[in-house]
Amino acid sequence: MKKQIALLVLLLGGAELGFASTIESHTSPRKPVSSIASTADHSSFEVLNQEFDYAPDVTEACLECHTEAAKQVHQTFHWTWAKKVDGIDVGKAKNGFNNYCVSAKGNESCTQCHAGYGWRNEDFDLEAEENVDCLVCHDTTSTYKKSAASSGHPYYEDQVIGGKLQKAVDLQYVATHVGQPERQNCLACHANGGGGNGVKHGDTDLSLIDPEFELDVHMSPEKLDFSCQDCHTASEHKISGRYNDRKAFVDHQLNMGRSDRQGNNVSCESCHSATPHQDRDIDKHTTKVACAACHIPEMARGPYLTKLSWDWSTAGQTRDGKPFVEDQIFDGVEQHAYMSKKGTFTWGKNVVPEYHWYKGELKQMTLLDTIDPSQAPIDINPPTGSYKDPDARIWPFKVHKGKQPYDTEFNRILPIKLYGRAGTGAFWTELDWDKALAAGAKLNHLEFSGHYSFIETNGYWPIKHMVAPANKSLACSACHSRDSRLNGLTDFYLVGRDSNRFVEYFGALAIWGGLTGVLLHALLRIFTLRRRKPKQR
Amino acid sequence: MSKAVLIFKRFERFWHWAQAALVLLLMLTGLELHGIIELFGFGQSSHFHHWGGFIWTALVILIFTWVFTTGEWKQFMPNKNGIDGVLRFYLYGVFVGEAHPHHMSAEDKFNPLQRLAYLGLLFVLIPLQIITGLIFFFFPELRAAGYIEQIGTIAIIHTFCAYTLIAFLVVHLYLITLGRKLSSHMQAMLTGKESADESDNH
Repeated sequence: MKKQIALLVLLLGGAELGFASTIESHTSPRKPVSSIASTADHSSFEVLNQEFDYAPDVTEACLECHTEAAKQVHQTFHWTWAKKVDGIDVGKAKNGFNNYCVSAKGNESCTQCHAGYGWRNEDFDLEAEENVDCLVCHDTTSTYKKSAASSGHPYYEDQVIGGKLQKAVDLQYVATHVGQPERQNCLACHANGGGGNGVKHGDTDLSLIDPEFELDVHMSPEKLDFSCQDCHTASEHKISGRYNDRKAFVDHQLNMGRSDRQGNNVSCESCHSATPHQDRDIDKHTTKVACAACHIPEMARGPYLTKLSWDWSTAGQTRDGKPFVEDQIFDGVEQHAYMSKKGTFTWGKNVVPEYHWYKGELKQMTLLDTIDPSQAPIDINPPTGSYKDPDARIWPFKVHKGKQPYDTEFNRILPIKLYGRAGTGAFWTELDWDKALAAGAKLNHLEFSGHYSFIETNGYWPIKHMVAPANKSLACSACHSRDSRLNGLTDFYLVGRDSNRFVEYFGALAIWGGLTGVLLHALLRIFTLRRRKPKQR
Repeated sequence: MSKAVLIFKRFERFWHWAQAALVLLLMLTGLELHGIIELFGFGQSSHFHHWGGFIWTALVILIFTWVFTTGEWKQFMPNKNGIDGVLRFYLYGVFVGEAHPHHMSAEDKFNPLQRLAYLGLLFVLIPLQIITGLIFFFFPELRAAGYIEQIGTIAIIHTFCAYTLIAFLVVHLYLITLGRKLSSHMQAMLTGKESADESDNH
């Protein structure tokens, strides 16, 4: 398994721009993989058995049989990275932003994870079928890796990147060994979001390739060995899950045994029902508390750290005129604490999440929205809901703390041009905020006043993966106690946590007062009895 | 000349002690649920509290049935005359060796102060505690049916009653010792009998 992870890390070498990987470069020996997918032996297809020197040519070959595949992919979020919500385009390709690298536009390295080829600039043709990257999801050989420097294309020639040899891809070999997406395919992007393994999510990192039962009861080969698709069911290349325009789950809808979940209800309840405990006390919680709140007691439960904060305001410092990196031990694991290119980070594992009301919707702020700097930290994608909302439940969240640039005159978050050659304003090349922000604004068609500062932001990531075994779920007292995990949620009475001040005063007075009165009465009785006794004799 | 008089009938003694045990359990588990003490663990306490609460509810229904069908309810009717005498006894007479002003008999078990206290306890405090407890327990169902949105007020009343009951228990336990002998009242509640010559105080 270690080898597999090492391979994968290699595969993702490009994704970890600026990340000092400790994995040594090595030439990847081909693992034995089957060329048979479903009922077809792909190695017997003539159209695939040719010398490819350009990945889009492979796509064209795929499309000869799978005539509808690219059209289907074009309809999905994996392709568009955008969706109109309330009339405004949101998503990482348009207007949306986060508090990691802020925006994808202008960061060509981000597009290495796009399921397509050549998203370099605005000229990218979102309609072109041959630009769909079939192999990134369907490669079973682990030899297909996208290059950060070539906008989603694989390595066509041997290259040394960051001291590591990246072998040129053998497209014929990959094309004749396609199959159902495996965990590696999904996690190559989803575990590495935000710039490296575990950075973004807190509940999705490379440990899910082969997790222990203790780490993930569903995906562990020790028991259920679920693939990603067992929950994230797909039809017509639409993968079920949460997106900007829809919830991942529909509360209380049991879909057990249904073959087609219509791509919109991936929930624990889909299989477990909303009342799986055979214990009323626990089952009655589920109308207000999400399964994840108790069953995922901590984030980043595996061996890897997740990023907890990213302060851009300190980025750009140099030592002897050169950018530098400083490492630090976080929860026993060494990680970057400072990078000239990115700023200051904190990391953690086994992190206690924050809890918020959540209906499956995150209210995504866009680069067009005005912020009120006096309201910092700014919630950039807050979950909505409250106790009174029957659709909302208490969910665990990773709240990523950011400090990122904003325009002090227009009061808008500013995207940063990060990646590019010298002279383009790219921050990672020139370390010049004025240029990088001006270039970032231009690429995103935003006005920039030239005046900027940095503001604290919160990014919200609902925690859903890495479900712990039942005996590791949260104890009642984690919430039902004075130092409750839910102390941030004050819109309802919580037994064990809440009390009425006056009733508590009354109780103390009545009980301790009663005891004192009784004690005084008893003492007086003893005292007077002693005085009476001699008289009686 | 001790002639034993039966004051407390068998069922009366049963319900008194059953209630004592249940209230003690409910008190301890309730305090744990309220975050005041640690005992069985929140989950266990919750289970015990719910079971105890339902058994108590059943018992109190039995008690009321008994009290009303036997006419014992008359024992709880307030009797204004003599309260001052009883108060004087507890605040003064007991210290100088006076006799208790109330004469205890099967027909007139309680002194005027007890009548008031037990009227409040059995007919107000305990029903209120049980009703708020039931609302508390069935809150998820009541909320789903749209009857009640928040449990805070009910919870606060329940806590208030609980503290009052504990305070009552403190005084109640002390007053056991105020029989002619220290053990007289305790004995009456165990055997049902109090010797006639001892029965004139409480």
